[in-house]
Amino acid sequence: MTNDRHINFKLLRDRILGGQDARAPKEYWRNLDELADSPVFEEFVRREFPHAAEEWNNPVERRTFLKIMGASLALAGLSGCVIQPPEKVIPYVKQPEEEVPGKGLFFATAYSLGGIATPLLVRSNEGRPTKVEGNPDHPSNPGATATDIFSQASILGLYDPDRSQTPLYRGETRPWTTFVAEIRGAIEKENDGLKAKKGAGLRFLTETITSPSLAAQMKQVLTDFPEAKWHQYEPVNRDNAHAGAIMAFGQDVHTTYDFSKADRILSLGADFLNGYPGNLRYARDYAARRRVDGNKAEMNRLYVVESTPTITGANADHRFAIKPGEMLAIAQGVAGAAQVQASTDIGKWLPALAKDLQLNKGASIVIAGNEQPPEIHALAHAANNALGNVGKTVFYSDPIEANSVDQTQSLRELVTDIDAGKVEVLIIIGGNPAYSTPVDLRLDFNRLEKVKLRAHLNLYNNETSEICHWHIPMAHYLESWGDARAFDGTATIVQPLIAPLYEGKTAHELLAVFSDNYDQKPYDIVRNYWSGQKSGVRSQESGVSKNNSSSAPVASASPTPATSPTPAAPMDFDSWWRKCLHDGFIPNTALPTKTVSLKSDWASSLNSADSRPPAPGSYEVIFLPDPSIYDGRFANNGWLQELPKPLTKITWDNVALVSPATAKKMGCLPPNYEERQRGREAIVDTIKLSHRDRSITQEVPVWVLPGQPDDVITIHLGYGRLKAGRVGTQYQYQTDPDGALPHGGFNAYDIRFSDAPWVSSGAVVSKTGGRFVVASTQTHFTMDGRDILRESSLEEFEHEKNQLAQERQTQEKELHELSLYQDFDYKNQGNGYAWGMSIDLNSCIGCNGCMIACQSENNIPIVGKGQVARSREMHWIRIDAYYKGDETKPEGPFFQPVPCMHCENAPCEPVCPVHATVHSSEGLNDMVYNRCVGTKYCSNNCPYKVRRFNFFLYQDWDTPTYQLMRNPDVSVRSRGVMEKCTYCVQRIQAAKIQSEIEGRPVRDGEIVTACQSVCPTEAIVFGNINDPNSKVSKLKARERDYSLLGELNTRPRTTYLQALRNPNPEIKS
Amino acid sequence: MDEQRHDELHSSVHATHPVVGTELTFGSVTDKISAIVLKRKTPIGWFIGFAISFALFQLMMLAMVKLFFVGIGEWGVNVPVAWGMDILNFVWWIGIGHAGTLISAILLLLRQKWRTSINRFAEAMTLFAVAQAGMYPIMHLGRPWLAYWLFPYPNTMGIWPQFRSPLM
Repeated sequence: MTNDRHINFKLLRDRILGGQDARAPKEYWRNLDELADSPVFEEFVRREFPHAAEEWNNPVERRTFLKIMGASLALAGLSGCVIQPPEKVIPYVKQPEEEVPGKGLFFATAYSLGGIATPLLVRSNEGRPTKVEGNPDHPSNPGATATDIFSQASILGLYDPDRSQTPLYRGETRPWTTFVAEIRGAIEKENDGLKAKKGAGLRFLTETITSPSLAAQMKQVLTDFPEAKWHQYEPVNRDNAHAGAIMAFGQDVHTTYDFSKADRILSLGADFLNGYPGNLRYARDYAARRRVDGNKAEMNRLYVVESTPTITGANADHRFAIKPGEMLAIAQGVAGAAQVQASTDIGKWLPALAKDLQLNKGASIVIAGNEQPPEIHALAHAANNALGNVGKTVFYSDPIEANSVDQTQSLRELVTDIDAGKVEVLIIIGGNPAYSTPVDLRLDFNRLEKVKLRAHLNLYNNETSEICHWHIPMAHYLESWGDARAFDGTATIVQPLIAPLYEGKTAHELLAVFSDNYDQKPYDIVRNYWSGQKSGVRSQESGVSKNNSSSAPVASASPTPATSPTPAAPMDFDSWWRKCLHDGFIPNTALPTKTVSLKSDWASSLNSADSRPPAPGSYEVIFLPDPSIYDGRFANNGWLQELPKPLTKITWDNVALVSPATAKKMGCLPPNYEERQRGREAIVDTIKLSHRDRSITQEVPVWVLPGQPDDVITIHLGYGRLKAGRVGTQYQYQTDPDGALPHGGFNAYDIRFSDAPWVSSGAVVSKTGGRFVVASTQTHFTMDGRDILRESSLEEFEHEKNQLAQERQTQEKELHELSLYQDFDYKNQGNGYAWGMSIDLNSCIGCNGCMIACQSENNIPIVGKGQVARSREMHWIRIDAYYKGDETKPEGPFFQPVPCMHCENAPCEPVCPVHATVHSSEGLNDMVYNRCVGTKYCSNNCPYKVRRFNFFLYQDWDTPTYQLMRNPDVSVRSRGVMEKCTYCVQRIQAAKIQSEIEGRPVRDGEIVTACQSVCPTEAIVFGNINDPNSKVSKLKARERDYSLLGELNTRPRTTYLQALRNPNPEIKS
Repeated sequence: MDEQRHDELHSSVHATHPVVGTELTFGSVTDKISAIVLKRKTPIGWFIGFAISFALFQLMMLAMVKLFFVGIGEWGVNVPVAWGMDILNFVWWIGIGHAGTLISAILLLLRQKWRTSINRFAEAMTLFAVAQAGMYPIMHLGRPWLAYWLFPYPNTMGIWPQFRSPLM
C-alpha cells in the first residue's frame, strides 16, 4: 500500500490514544491498517489466506494437468536451443564520409623494405586495414595490382599481439614524454649538453633511408649538430652494387632495367624475379615477353649463371650452376672475350652465350645480383655498354638512397667510434643490430655498454631493445605518415589506415625530438616537407578541389587504372596534396636518367679481385636473405614462417643447402621422408658449421638441393632469433609432445664477417650425429611420368600444337559421352555466368604471392611446425615444384599453383553425406561451412587434394587484434569443418551486387580473385567463360591449354597453360 | 479320468522318485542359490580384473573427452590420409561383431546341441561390439555433436542428407 488515502486515521488515533485494547499487550503490527484493524486490512488478510479456497482434488482434471505438465517438460527441451546473448548493433552516430559499412574503402600507401617501396592500395573495412593490394596507378608498375609476399604479410605484422606497446626504460614502461625530457635534457644540458658540444658524441644508426622527408629531417638534425654522425646499416644491403658502379663509372648510380624490351637476358647471380628492387615490374615485363599467344611466337631467352638455386634460375632457359669464385671469370668472358675455365660446362657454352647476346644488341640485359662482388657489377656495366643496352634496356640514375654510403663501412666507423669511447648518445632507428650485424662488428652488450644513452625504435622489443636503455615502439607503416620511394624513384606519401594501435611513434617523431620543435606531428612534418618541394614541382594533371583539407587520409576509388590526365592550370598545394594522397604517388618524382660513361681505367681494379679457390676440405659459405623471413625482421610473422620456401618447400626452419655429392662427402643423408610416415616430416642430419674462429651455436640441418654446386653451402639469414615474440623465437623443445617440434632455425649471422658478407670460403663442417625434423610441404619433386605439369621447348610446341589441340578435343568428347546426365546449361539456366580460371605455367615464377594473398583474404589460419609436419597445413592454394632431369643437373623446378579446380563433375560433391559441398548455378563448387559435420569424405575423394580440414581449432579466437585483421566478408571456420578455395566468392558476390545495382552484367576483369590480383606476372586469370570475349575464354582456347588430371573426367574449371622454354639451339646441356 | 490319472502320477512320483529331496523346501533352495551372490565373498581376482578394465575404460573416456574437446587431429589423420585409426577401428569392431553372428549361425546350421551357451555369449559379444563400432563414426566426425544431421529427420532448415553419398 503505497498511498495512504485508505488509512483510516481516525480509527487509528482512537486506537492508539484511546487505550482501549481489544488485543493482548505487546502485540505487534506491521502496517497501519493492521493497527487500525480497519476493514481494508481485514479484506487484505482474507485475500491472502482465503479460508474458503477449495482443495483441488478433481481427479480427472488433475491427471490431465499432470499430463500436460509432463508433456511441457518434454517439449521444453526442444525450445532449449542455445539462446544467443543479446548483442546490440549500434549504427554510426556520425558516419565517416564515404563509408558504407560492409564495403571496403581503398587507401593508397606504400611499404618500404630495404629502402625500396612497394606502392599499395590497402582495403579498409570500418576504419581498419584488412587487405593489401598493389596500386595500379603507380608509374613504377602501371596497371599492376601485384605486391610481394612481405607487403601481403605486413597486415599480420600490424595486428601482431607481440608488438611492443609502450616505451620502455630498462624494461619498465615509461611515458613518451619522459623520453623526450631525457633527450632534451641531454641536448640542453649546460656546458656538457649535445647542443653545447655541437653534437659530438651523438650518433644515429638507421636502416637504408630513401624517404625524402626523413632524409631532410636528418639533414636538418645534422646541420643543427655538426659533429653528430649518421650511420646506415642493413644486413641485406646493396653495398656491392654501389661499389661496382663507382668502380665502373667513378660515381654511384642506380640502375633500372626495362625487361619489356629485352630479348636476351643474362643474370649473373641476380634473382631479379623475386628478391631485387623493382622485381614486381621486372617480373611483369619479363613474363609479358614470354607470353606466346596466337600470332606472337617469340619468346625472350633467359640465361642464369648462379650458385644457389633461386626462382630466377628455376625459370631460366639455361641455368649454369657455378662455384662463387668462378663468377669473375665468367663475367669477364661476357664483358670481354676471355677464355673461361670453369668447373661446369659453362666454359664450353660461354662463346655461344656471348654470341647470342651480341646478336641482340640493344635488346639485351646483363644484370648482376646484389650479393655479387663489386667487380661483377662493374663487368656487367661494361657488358651492357658493349652491347649497346644503355638507354634502351638499361638506365642509370642518381642513387635512390638519400645518402648512399657503403653501409658496412658506415657500421665499421660507428663501431670504431664506440670502441674509442667517442659515442655518448646512440639512437637506433629500426633494425636489429644486436642480432644482425656481422660478427666482428656486432653491437652486443659489451660494446654498447660504452655508450651512455642508447635508444632503439622498433616494432618489437627485440634483442637490440634488450640492451638499450630506451625502447620506443615504432608505429607500423599502416599507422604512420611518411613517404617512400619506389625502385624507379617515384615518391609515394605513406598515409595511415588506422590510428596507432599502441603508443607507436614514427621515425619522424623520434628525429623531431632533436629539433627545437619537438612536438611536431608526423603529418605536419611530411606535409611541410612536400609543401616546400611543391613550389619547385609543377603538376600537369587536372586538379581535384576539395573544400576542406583535414588530416584525414584520402580514399581512392576501387582499384581501376587511372584515366589519362588532362593538362590544366597548376594546382594549389592543398588540392595537389589530396590528389597525391588519392593517387598514391607524387607525379614526376621518378629519378631522371642520366648518362654516365665507363671510366677509362675501370678494368684495372679487377686484377685485385680475390679469386683463390677455397682450401681443400673446407667449404664456401653463401649467405642469402631468407625467401620468407628476409633478414630476420619477419621472424614473428606466422604467415611468413609457414610459407613454404619456393624451392625447398620448407617451413619454420632454415637449413644448409648442399649438393648431393657434398652431402655424401659430409656423411649426411638426403632428407628422409619415410622414417616416420606421419605426414611430410623429413628427418635430416645435422652438422656443426664453423668459420674462422666462430661457429653457429645451434645444430645446422643439412638439406640436399638439386642444382646446388658442389662444396658450396648456402645458409639463409634471419633465423635463430632469441627474442622475437612467441612465433619467431627459437624453440628448443627436445622431445616431441603432441606435435611440438624444435623450430626457429639457426643463426647464420654467427659466422658472417664484415669483409665477406655474402660469400666466404674456409668454412669447416663436422657432422654432429644428431638428427632434426624439418617440416616440408612437398616430399616428391618428380612427376614419375604422369601428365601433371606440361612443359616443352618453344620449338617442340610449335610442331606439336595442332596435335595437342586435337588430342584435347578428342579427350573432351570421349569423356563427355561417358556421362548419363545432361550438362547444366550455364548460359540459359542460372544467372548466365560461368566462372572459370586459367593459370599460365609459362608465367608462374613460384614467388608464393598467391599463397599469402589467399591467406590474407580468406582468413586462413597457420598451424605451426608440428602440424605442417603432419601434413595439415591450411593453405588453400599451393605451389607444386617439379624438377626435370637428374639430380646433379636438374632443369627447373617448374612451378604449378594448385587451387581448387572447381570441377564440373566434382568428385567431392556426391560423397558428402550432409550436402555441405554443392555446385552453384554459376559453376562454383561451394563449401557450406555451417553444414559440414567433418566426415572428410570429400577430401578423400578429391584427386587434387586441395581440400583443407580444420583438425583442431587452428583459428585464434582469443587475441583481440586478430579480430580486427580478419576479412569480414569471409567466415572464420571453427574446428571440424572442411574448407577450400572458393574462387573468392565474396568478391564475386560483391561484383554481382554492384552490377545489379547498376543494372548491367559483370564486366570482364571486374572480379579479380586474391591470387590473381597479387600475381606479379599475371599468371592467374579469372573470368566468365560464357563470354567468348573474356580474357579467360581466350586463354582457354589456346593450344597450350590443358586440364590437370583431365583423364579422370572431373572437367575442372581451372585449366593450365603449358610452360614453354626457349633454349638456345647451339647450347646442348 | 484325466484327473485321476494325473493324481496317480503325481502321487507316484512323489512316493517313489522324489525329484527334490525332502529336506529341501522352497525357502531353503532360494537361500542356497542366492547365497552365491549374497553370502559368498567376492574373490580378489574379480576386483583385480575389474580394476584393470576400469582403468582401461577410464583411459578410453579420457581419450574420448580429449577428442571431443580438442578435435579430431588426435587421430593422427591428415590430408591426404583423412581416414585412419578412427574408421579402421570402426571396421575392426564391425568385424568382431560379424564373428559373433557367424559363430551363432554356423552352430545352428550344423545343428550342434551344445550351442546354446556359446551362442549366448557370442551374440552378446556381437551386440557390444556393434555398440562400440557405432561410436566410431561419431568420433571420427569433425563436429560429432552434429552427427544427427546424417539422419533424415524433418527440420526447420528443410534440408535432407545427401543420399547419393556412400556413407548414407
